[in-house]
Amino acid sequence: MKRKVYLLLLLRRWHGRFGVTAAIFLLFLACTGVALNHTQQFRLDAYRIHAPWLARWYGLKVEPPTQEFAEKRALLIGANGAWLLNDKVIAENVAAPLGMVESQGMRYIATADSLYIYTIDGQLVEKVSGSSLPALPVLGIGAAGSQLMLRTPSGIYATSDAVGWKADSPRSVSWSRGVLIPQSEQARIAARLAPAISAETLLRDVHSGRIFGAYGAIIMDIVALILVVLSVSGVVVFFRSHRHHSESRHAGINADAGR
Amino acid sequence: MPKLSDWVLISFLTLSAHAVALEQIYQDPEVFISDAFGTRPQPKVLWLTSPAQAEIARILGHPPTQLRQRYWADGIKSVWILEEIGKEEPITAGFVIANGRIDHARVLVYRESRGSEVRYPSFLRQFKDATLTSDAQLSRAIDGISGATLSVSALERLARVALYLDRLSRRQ
Repeated sequence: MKRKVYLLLLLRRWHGRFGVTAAIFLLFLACTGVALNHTQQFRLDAYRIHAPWLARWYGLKVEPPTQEFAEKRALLIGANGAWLLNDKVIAENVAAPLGMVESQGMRYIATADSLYIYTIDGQLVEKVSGSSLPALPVLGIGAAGSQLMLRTPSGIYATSDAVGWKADSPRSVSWSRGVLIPQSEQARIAARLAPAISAETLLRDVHSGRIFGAYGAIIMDIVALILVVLSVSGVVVFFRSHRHHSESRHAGINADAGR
Repeated sequence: MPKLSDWVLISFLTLSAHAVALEQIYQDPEVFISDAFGTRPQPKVLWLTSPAQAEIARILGHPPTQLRQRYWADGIKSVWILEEIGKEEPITAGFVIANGRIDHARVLVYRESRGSEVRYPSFLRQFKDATLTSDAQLSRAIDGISGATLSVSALERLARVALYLDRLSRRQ
């Protein structure tokens, strides 16, 4: 009888220990799960985290920014699919810029396959690509007077509105050229342009344990195993305690009856 | 209530599905334009004034991403290539509007991991002959697709924007 009570107490103690361990994980899973169910309301899908360590953790190739394009009062730097204009991220999921030109109150940024038009205060006017460009790939962007110029393998093209293009012969074109970013600025800019991970992706990976790769799955397997142990030990403790109490009560009644 | 091991499996499958989400080009936008007109007319641009931006923001639920919209028009017909995010990635759709009615719609590029059923003609046929009501709604109800709710909603919004822009372009 004593041995049974000892085993019951031991089971109860371990049930408690496993319970506390599982509770930490369950609370964490419940909180992240609720957040994932409301990603749109919490705008988790829109919030992007720029952190070099996180990008490295995800195995994303971090491309250090090397050159900048200066035009009047604007400074453009691109790396890791993002653009920094005057220290503000203005575009993500974009190709590396080839140059920047300011003309007739608009700012034009060229990539190999697109031309982005911005207002001076940084609002996107239009992204021009495909057959709306005179030829591809774009090799360079420049200005000649009020005309915007694009250099392509099939020649140089001029436009005043990025709608109609005409072939132009090379003349006095001021081509946008990148210059090396000062060494002292590189680390700061690299941090700003580190590849971004959306908060939703990060939360989903933390929730599933995949953030830790194969180890995450093993951790979750262990938690699942703990829950199985908890279920079994919980059932055993419940029925054993129930039986123990019944036996004690019966013993008490019998003792009372014997008096 | 799934067990933790199930959650792990579900998460893994979800992540796998996410990882294989690729850009699917169902029709080149240039081909869509050429098909609509026979030849490719010169592009035109429509500047979105503040009231137009406000109206589009009302339709989309967010401000338009750009201030100028390119389109192609010839007589009564206009073509609009528009983009809107379904859940995470933009869907590119083309709309041919004739006489203020949708002549046909097509999903040109699909980038989401789920919901690509919106590209099927059986779904897109519902947009035919739809017009824009005075409160900027489609004149006909569009039946949803199970599992593609966000993509359906995105296409419906784009259809309304296309009709609104067509109306706007004719006032110019």
